[in-house]
Amino acid sequence: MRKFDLELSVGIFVLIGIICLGYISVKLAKMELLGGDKYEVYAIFSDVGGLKAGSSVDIAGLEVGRVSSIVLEDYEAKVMMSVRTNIKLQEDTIASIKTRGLIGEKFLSLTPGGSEQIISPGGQIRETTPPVDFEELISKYVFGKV
Amino acid sequence: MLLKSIKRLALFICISLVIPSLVMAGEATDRIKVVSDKIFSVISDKTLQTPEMKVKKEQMIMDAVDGAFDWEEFSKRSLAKNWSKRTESEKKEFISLFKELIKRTYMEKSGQYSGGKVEFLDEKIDGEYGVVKSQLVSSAGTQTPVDYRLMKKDGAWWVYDVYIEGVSLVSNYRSQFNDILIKSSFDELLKRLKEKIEKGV
Repeated sequence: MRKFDLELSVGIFVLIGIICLGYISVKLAKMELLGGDKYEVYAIFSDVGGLKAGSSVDIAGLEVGRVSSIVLEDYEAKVMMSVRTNIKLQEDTIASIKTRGLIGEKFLSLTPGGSEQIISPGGQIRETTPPVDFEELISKYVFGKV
Repeated sequence: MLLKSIKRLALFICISLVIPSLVMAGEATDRIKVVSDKIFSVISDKTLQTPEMKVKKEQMIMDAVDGAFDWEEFSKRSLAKNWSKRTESEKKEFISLFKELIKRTYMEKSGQYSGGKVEFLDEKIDGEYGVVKSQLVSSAGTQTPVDYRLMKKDGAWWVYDVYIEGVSLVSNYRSQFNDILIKSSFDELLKRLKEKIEKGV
């Protein structure tokens, strides 16, 4: 009986450990097991310049979602993102790819619009601006524009 | 026999899908073409080059632009969430000031015009929205990509945003106006616009 108690408590202890480990891995990898409070929208960019799946989607500098995937479609980049359900995106929202600092990571910045129409789940953000290509800017400045 | 009729059906479906898009393909581009042709004819008109004719020339260019630009949509998108908070008269005043600001900004550029042409590269239509990609080729050969964003209203295409070298006009003004409105009031924004117009951009 006592042996059984000991085994049970060790078992429970190990189980709690495994659950914690699972929780930490999910948190660290920023994975989402339950996607119920988010919805997907997409935007087409001529150039994503280093934006990756998992990059953050910001409004006014605050994270409201993440880039879920980027695929090439008709030689343009289709960026799928999941945004929190309580964030309503107007039809004229502008999505632009920005860099944190000069050489920081790329993220997707959304500027809310003023339209009465709201983008429904699975809808498209039409207005997009590709990232500023510093190399191109510098080369234009250094070598002159042709 | 059956295969043949299936093939024929497939061909018919393909054609019926393609034809409307072909017919649609030109509409938005044509709209821009009419405006740019008018502007080019005004700019290159020798009789309008004199300083006395400057006002008339600018008026003719603006008339051409007004024919395809939806200034209310430009203003609405630039003010974004602040638009709905404004009264009708405030909106009207803003539209006219915003239009004047853009006119001043780009009219200066048209004054430096020394030959060149517009090339239309591509057109994409998605329901009520369209994108016309073009590039401005100067006489020296400099290419400047200019994309027009259009939306269909009452059966006609209207421009609501212009992307020059990948930079959106609406996006540029939206962030600037938003910054001003966070720090100060709408009246201050109007005041600043007026100052900017008076000073000349």
